[in-house]
Amino acid sequence: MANGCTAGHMLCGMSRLSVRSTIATITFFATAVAVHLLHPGQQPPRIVPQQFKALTVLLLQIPFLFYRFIIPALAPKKWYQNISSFAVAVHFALGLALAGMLQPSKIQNFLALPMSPNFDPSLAFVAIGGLVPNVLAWTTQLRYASKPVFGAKFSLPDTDGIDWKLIVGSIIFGAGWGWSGICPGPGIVLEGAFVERWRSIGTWILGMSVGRLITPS
Amino acid sequence: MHASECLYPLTGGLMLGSCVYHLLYLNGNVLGISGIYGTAVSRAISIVGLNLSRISTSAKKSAPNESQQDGATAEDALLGDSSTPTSPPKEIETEPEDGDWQMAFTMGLLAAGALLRTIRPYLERSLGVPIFDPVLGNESSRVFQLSLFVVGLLVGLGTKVRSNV
Repeated sequence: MANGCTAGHMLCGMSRLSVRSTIATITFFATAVAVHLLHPGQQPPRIVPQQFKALTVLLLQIPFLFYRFIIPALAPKKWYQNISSFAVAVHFALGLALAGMLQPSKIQNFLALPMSPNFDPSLAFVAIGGLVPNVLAWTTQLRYASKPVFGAKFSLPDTDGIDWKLIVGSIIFGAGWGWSGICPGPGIVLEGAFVERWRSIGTWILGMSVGRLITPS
Repeated sequence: MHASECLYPLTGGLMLGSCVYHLLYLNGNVLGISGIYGTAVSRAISIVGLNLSRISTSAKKSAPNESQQDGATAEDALLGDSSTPTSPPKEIETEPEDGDWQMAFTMGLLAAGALLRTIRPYLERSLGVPIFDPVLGNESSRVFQLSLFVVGLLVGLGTKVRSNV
């Protein structure tokens, strides 16, 4: 009912200075913090990196070269959108891994707030990295663009109202996010990774799919 | 706080931001994952439905007496109910643009997960941090699994109606 999740509202909506997305983000974040405080769960010990490995980080940018330069130059127009979307998704998943967002414990330690000894502030930097350049890009370039480079038109939301569905949906989403530390993007990547927790993540994905299917549009 | 403790999340955030920007700038699409996933699932269901419908159609071509069922919808085929035709016989056509890029995006996330699993030892050794959480002691219990299903259900409910962010 909130019409979006952390990626849709926080990264995309707030980048476009959407009041609706800002309200949704504040609502689901506050709910997630409250739920986490009520149900802190069991977290593995926090591991702090000792140095920044630039070469490894550079290697993780290979998908960027594909969707920014190689695919636009080589892919047939008919297939461009699908191939570039695939490459963007791979880069997105690698970004989630580098940011630590594939670890639900890291999300939950961020939701613990500074008064907790487990508080992990590093995810605030994910928000800074994801939002600041996009706010600049939106305010100086994208909002004035008539159409995308390879598409016919921008598929932007046509709703900017704030109603009970937005608030209730954000509260429900925030409750689920705060309890498990998993939101849709990391959940799908983790299931693809088929790591030790695949059964738990798969159960979560099944629940999310059922939740979307039984909710009327 | 060690510098690299914020540099990795900051770089990761920049990567996420780059994806958000380029999906909009190049293709005109908003990177809202719950909506993308929902559309991809619907598309996958419709493809399965159409395939079942095609199988049903070819079977009917070999049995002319039942040709009135050719117009059954994909949903009928999916639900196994092709006995109530709702429209005249027609060629089944797909709209290649509806849901296709969302399916490609979802496949990209899953493929990247598989890639991360493959390169996990190198990546964790090189970065000096884990990229996945370890399994916790209580995860195999049914109560825990049920709670995860309910939590996933909440996320699905909360993000649905239509992705218009």
